[in-house]
Amino acid sequence: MPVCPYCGGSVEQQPGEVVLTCPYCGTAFAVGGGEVGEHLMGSVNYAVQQVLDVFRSWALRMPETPNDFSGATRLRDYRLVFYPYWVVQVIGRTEIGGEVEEESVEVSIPAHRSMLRTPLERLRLSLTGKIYYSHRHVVQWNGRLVNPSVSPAEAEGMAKSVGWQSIAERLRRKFGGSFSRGELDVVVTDRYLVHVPVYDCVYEYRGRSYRFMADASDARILYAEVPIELKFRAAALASGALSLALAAALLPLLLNAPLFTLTCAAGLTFVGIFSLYKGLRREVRTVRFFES
Amino acid sequence: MGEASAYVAATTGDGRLVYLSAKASPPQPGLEQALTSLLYELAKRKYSELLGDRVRVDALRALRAMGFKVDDVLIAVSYRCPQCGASIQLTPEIVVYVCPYCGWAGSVFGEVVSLLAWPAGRREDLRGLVERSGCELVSAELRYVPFWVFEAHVDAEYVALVTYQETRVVPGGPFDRERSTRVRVETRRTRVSGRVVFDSVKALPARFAVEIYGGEQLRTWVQSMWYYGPPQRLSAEEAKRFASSILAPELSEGVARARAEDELEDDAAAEARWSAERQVGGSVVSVQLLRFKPSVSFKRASLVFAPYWIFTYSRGGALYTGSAAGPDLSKLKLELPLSNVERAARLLGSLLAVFGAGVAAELTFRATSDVLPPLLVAGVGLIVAVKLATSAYAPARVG
Repeated sequence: MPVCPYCGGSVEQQPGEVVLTCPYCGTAFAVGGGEVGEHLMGSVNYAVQQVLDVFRSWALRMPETPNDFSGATRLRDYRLVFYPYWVVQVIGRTEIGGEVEEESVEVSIPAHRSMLRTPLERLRLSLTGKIYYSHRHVVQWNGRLVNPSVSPAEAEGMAKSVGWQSIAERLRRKFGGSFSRGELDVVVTDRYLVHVPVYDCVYEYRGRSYRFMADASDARILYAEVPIELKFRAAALASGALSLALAAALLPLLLNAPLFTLTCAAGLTFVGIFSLYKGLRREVRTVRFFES
Repeated sequence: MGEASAYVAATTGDGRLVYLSAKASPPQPGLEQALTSLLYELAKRKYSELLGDRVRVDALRALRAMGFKVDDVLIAVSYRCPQCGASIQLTPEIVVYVCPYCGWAGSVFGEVVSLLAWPAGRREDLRGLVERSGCELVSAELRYVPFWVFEAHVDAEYVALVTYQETRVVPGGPFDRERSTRVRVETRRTRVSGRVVFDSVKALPARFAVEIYGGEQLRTWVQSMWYYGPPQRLSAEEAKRFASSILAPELSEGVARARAEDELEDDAAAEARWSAERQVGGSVVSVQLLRFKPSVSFKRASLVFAPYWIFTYSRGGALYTGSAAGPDLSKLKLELPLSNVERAARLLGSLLAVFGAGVAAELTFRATSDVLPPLLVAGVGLIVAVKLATSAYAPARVG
């Protein structure tokens, strides 16, 4: 079993984990040996019920949301997961018109492969307000810790590429064609491992289950599934069926008025299918962050 | 089994005014004194460190090194109001707070911050506004949203390469017997230089997650009100009254200043491109800044709180959201009902457009016996139909 380089405690390792967290002193260290730099975390500032309240008012801002949403939703299950991110500070330098231009960006890289292609991939972090890692805090909130499967070196490589794009875009905006992408050098100046607490909640509305995810530090909604009002769906289904029926009814006219029939059939079929699609959807899925 | 405890008022290594407390078990002679001196020692660390695991492990090691047989030690930290000494629990993100007990306002480092705010519109007035539109107010919540407002002077020198097109009327060719003229478009490049100087006001939200419906509109409102109706200074008594509605700032002045500087430099670059464009006649194709040297000097930085109402209202059984700011409840963002009648009308309109397109296409075909014109007519009609059909399912109008 790997041993913490700071306090000597034994640390369990799960398959795929390349960086481990000591549950006694919070030190993060690479499996091959050595610490990985400062290990920070976001503290849990919102209890799950508070997050649910924020989510309800957020969801009501979408007009498809049923009006009884607040009263009829019930939290069925939730888990609090502390997801790992590498936060890397990248500085880019280039020379434009004899002057050295320097820009810096903070890049967040999801540190576990399971976070890729999920709403967690889009989370952008700030180091402000982050505290030193406390495993006691994780246990106190009954949270589950995910350790990185992306190594620090790999994260730095990814951060350099993302940071380069971001700095190049900024310089291009400012200097236009005078900025030559080939002359931009980027270097990594700092790297932190940050664990971010995220609520993954399942709630019930009229017998069906839906899911949402929220940042437990600031209650930002990261992902949401919201039911669509029944009245809205019924009207859409009815108009879809009507349009398709009209399209079918026009077909006998094909020989006498071919262009009229084809144009109308095409238009009515589109309106019909679009309406049916709107009516058959049971929920809106959104990965937009909180309204800003 | 009991425990030994200690409690000290201290200033952390990064300058925050805090109370630190520790509990260790089992109790034993001299442990409380040892804990007290240990807390003063630990207070030399950064605030964020005091919330981590390492500080506990280090404290345990230190106590054991002093000869105490302790099983565990717990360390807690809270902020300390420099005026009334109250212990205040804040989330780690907060950088400025208002003491709910005495109304003192300042940073977590104990520096006094003068609170500037606009007066808020009254709930009754908001209700009246909503009811006058034939709707019913369902809920309304008042918040004071913090902004850092910077008054800045921007001075930037630039050298730019402007590509532009010039239209010239030139005589016809050498074999042109009628001596006619022709128009020639020439693309040219010229190097220009200049300087842009302007004063600006930048308002930046002092929260990370700007949980504000109509946040961008609120920012614009703050920037314009800064000139036309400056905010008032709040007394401690007033601040205490509003403390529960105030969203505590999470962005320090330094971080906000850096962001403001970035935005002002971008503004100056845009202004420089515009200035370069004006120096050249003809139609400008592109402007490249070859050299750009901005200098931003801040004249004043203020923390200001904008009163903001977020409310929901109902109409015809449906619920809508809106937000308003300031004493006169200026509208920021409002969801406007899209009634079922309007939706049905749009859908019906799309069906009519489909039939109209069909009839027009058929008639055009019969008149011309050509396929292309009727197809164009049908295409235009179908585009109108598609637009109407999709708008019928739009969630709501947002104004």
